[in-house]
Amino acid sequence: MTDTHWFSLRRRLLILLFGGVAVCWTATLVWSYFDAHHEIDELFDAQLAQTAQALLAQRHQLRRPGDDDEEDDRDGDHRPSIAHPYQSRVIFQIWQADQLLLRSPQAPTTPLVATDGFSESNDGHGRWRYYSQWDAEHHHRVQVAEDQHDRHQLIAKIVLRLALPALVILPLLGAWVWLAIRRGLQPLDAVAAEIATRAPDRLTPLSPARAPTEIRPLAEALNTLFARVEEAIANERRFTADAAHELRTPLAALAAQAQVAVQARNDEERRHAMAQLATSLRRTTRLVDQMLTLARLDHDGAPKATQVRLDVLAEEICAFYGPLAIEKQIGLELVAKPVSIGGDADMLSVLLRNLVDNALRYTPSGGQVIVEVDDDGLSVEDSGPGIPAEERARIFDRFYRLAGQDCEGSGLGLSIVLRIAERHGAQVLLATGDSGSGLKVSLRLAASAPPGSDDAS
Amino acid sequence: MRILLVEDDPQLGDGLTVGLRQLDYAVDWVKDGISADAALATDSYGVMILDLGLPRMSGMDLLAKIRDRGLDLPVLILTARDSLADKVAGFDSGADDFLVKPVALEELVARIRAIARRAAGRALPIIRHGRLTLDPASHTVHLDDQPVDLSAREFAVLQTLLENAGRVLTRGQIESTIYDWRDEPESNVLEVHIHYLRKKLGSDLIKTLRGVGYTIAKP
Repeated sequence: MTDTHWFSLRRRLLILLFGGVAVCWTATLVWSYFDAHHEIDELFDAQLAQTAQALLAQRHQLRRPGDDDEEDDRDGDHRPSIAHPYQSRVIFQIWQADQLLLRSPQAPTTPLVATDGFSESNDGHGRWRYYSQWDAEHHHRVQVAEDQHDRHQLIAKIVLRLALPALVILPLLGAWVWLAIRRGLQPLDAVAAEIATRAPDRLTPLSPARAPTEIRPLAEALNTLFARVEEAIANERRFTADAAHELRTPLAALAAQAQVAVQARNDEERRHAMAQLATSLRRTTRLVDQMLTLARLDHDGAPKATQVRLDVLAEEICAFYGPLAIEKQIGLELVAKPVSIGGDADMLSVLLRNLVDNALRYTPSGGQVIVEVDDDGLSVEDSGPGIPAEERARIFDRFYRLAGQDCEGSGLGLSIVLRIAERHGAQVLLATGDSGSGLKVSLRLAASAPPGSDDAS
Repeated sequence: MRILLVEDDPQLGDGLTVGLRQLDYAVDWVKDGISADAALATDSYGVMILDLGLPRMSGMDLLAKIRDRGLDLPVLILTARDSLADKVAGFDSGADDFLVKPVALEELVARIRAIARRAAGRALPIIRHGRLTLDPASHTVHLDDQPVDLSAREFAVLQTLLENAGRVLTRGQIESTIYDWRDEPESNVLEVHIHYLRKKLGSDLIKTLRGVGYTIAKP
């Protein structure tokens, strides 16, 4: 497994959702803690102040200091006994000037605190909260102290109570999130399973309508890919089938001629067989070449678009075929004006070679082949037998050959021409020659269509 | 034996024609179905080698047509089509054998011999007639287990007569099974062959029916 194994939507969603919930919950708890702390402080302080004022109001009912000193052990455990867990331990003193008028049993005899109002201290037994109030009317000072331990404990309990449900709910929420993600992402699994269970040769499109909106573009992209792959496979199969089928006869001819050469009874027979063998080889080679050219045209991407001078290209091809034309006593003529088109020079060269080759092949000795290049494209006209109008539709089919022809031909030339023309967004037209006989093949460039506009899938 | 080869590929047709002639078969080569039909109507052949993808009339159409006409010569299909459907259709249309190109000449010839033998109603590859044995595969003839040296034409005449033992064959029938279009027989050549056969195998084997033809009696 690669590292990408860890990149999973499910995992991401799980981490993000869980993380979010956990952070929110923690923040809520912290917030609640401080809020409870504040409110309880306020409440306790109010109580403390209230206690102080109640003491002031009722000081005459309180005992004088020194009346009962047996419990004066502020240094010992001065905490009052507890009737209720939330009952706060409070001590107090009431002073008149420097004289201690009253105190609670656990209160020390020295002033609890030096300043009026609320204050805090830590005396080694715990944190204390003090409140001191000066009664200007009676010249009394009341000092009340409360052990903060109680209020801290209360706050802790409240927060614990708040947090407790989280301990139950959080796992439930987690389970729900996990289930929701599983269920939510199930359509993805369904699509994946549909693709996974396919046989490699079954490239029927997925149904994007059944896929969720989020992965519909993915399904559509896959379908496009499927279509392209299927076409590529179909091309491949066709090529293999064609190759297997079309090479059989030439191979059979090679085998037969070789056998004839081996068992020849005289030199004349052997020479004949060797000549036939050479012809068969040349023909087979040409057939294989043409098939490979066509296979490449089926496979390669868009044509390389460069500016190609059609007239220069035609000149080169005509020069190449010149010797053959002279040998066959065919007049090869080029009528060209400078024309530059966008296209693939190699492909266009193959196209033109096939047209000129065909023309020379089917034109009898003494005939005429005219190559013309003008603004509309190019044309090759010959004075051969031509192609009957009813055959013109089929002549572009692969391996289709006109009946009763002794010329060596693979039946692929015009298929190659057509394929290259298609790739350049051009049209191939077949017509009877201008002189009323022969064949005129024209390549008509579509002015608007850029080269390669035919999708090279 | 005279063979009709129907094949539109120039090199393969030439190779098979010459190759079969080298093995002393008489071969006529036509390049389309219509010509084959015409050849079958005028000449008699021991075997037809038939390509399927033919111009003007396909091999299958030709086969159906001649079988329809009641022509029962052995037909060997030699084609580039190798699908099961093609093979089944070929046999069902009346083919006796089906070969996919390319094929070695030896195998082609062996299969021609086999279907010709079966067409003649024999199961054994060697023809026996009294003290005489003839092996079509090795082109040898033995008389009392002694090899007899025969020319290719003499062998062909003897084989034709032996395969039709008990029947009288006219001169034209014998000539048409051993000569192809390339070499039309001269008027008295057959008599010369018969003369040499009698000289080598004994004068009582081949009987002449004056003005009619020749025959070899059933053993």
